[in-house]
Amino acid sequence: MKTTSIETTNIKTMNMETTRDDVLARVRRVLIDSLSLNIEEDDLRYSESLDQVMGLDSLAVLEFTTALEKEFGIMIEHEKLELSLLRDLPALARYIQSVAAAPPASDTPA
Amino acid sequence: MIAEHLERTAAKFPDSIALIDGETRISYLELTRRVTAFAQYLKQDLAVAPGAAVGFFLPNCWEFVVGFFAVAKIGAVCMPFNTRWRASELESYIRQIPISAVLTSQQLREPWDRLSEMIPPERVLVVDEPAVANAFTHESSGQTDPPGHRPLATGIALQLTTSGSTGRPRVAARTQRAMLAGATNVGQALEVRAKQRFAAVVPFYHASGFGNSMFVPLLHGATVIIMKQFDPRGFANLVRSHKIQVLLVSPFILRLVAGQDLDADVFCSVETCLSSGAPTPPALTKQWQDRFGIRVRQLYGSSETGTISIETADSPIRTGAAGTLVPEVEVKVLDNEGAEKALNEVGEILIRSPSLMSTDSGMPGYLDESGLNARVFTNGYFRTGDLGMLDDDHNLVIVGRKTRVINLGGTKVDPAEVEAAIEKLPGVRQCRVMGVMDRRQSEIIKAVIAVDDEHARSRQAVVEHCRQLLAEHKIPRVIDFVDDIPVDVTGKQLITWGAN
Repeated sequence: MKTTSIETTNIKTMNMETTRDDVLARVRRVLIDSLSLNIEEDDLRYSESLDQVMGLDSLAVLEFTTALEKEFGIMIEHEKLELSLLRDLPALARYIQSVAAAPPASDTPA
Repeated sequence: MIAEHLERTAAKFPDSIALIDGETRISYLELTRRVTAFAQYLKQDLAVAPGAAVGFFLPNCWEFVVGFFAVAKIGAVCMPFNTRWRASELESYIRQIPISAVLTSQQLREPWDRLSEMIPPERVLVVDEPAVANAFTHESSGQTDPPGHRPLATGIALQLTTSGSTGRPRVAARTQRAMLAGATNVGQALEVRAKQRFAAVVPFYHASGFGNSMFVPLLHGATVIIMKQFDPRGFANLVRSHKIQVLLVSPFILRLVAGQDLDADVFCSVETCLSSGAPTPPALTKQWQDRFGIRVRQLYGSSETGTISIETADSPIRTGAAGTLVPEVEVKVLDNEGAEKALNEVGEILIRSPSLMSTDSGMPGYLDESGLNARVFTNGYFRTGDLGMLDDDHNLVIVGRKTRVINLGGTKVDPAEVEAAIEKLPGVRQCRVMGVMDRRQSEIIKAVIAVDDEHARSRQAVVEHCRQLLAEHKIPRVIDFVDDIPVDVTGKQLITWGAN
């Protein structure tokens, strides 16, 4: 399937100075907001697997990943996303940084 | 009856494309061939008897469609299951309604391996494994039709699983005749044409996805373009590349797509966009109108009744609007004493329709629920549990719900089932589970838990415990711990949409 024909515009470029801790904190906030979890940010430890704090069904995953795309101005390839990556906040933050650093996927032909 | 109807459609449009699923394109003629081949396999190789239920544990895919028509052709019953369910949840259904075989895929088969005592491995039909895949395309004999009698119009064709609020699963069954009548009426309401292009993205295990995005179009010679797994960009690409004309979506899908940066003309081929499963917030409808020039139309219905009503494209955007009744559907709005309400007065919505569920003895009602059926029917009208009214133009407006059932964007969750699961956690004394609206106007699950033991006062403990017993989507998002459950704790009243 062609995934490149829908151009995204107005992508916010992520500040490359952003530290990993900032990204991590934003990922955590997006998680709590997008899924309406009643957890205080400080009560969700980064070392915790998301499995321990919520149900990760396919709709929750979509809700969370599209909110991440908006927050960071990136595109996440939903088909290729491993659930294990989503469960692990630090790994997810590293992934987001790597996606944000790479050239936008829509510039490369399918 | 259903299979014959498809064959008549195929005789009219043999070379028209019936199904597109990724790289697979199946014409109407080819569809009927595959249906015949698979019907033979079910009947001759697996001895699936008329009236026997066949489980469907599949994503939306062409094999689901062929499997359904093949099952109908031999007078057996298609029973779709939510693919998110765990083995324990599937078990509760198949204990109640035994199944003769189940169609699944390599990716989804795992729960069935654990249920091998109830359904032996040779009756778990993995559609993407060669042995079963071949059965779709190879007729096992020269005969075009499997021998035996024709399925009866009054025989059950579809059994939909649904949730009440009593901790016990329910099954709503429809006869072949009821399905055809419902599809004809919806086809008329939507003016479905041959070769019109429909997107099938809402799962077929939902009554609306099954009926309105697959069954209805195929009976009218339209083309069904299948999306296995929704994601917002993939969806927009599908609509654009296949020039989709009819979309059936849910508020969830509308919201995620509206959140994307998309060109205003992405959906320029769309003539009809229907939203079902849950009420569509007016702000979302307006957003689609402004951004894409599409008037999203609410479709209201249920597993028990089939499609009830559909908004017209020119009606004013209004909270709770559920639209105009489809042909042959009758509605009553009753107060608690059973007296009819006047226009614009809120009461419980009751429905009578040719597509109403029926028991195997042909009476209206859930399967094997005689006690319950006496309560949910009044003079042949089904009590939906929804509160609403008819406005001056006799359009339905839904303002709330009478029962505790939680509606997660079309997937019904029984709060009693979640409560029972949580109350099994040591240290939990009592639990109340309810649906609450988040700020996006999506219903989510909230649990209020009274604990005796401080070890149980832990979100992690509750979530991990729930995961052993419940599908992921049934795990509460909002979890509150209290010393005692307040007597007035209720969910529905917190939902503040609608009422005048």
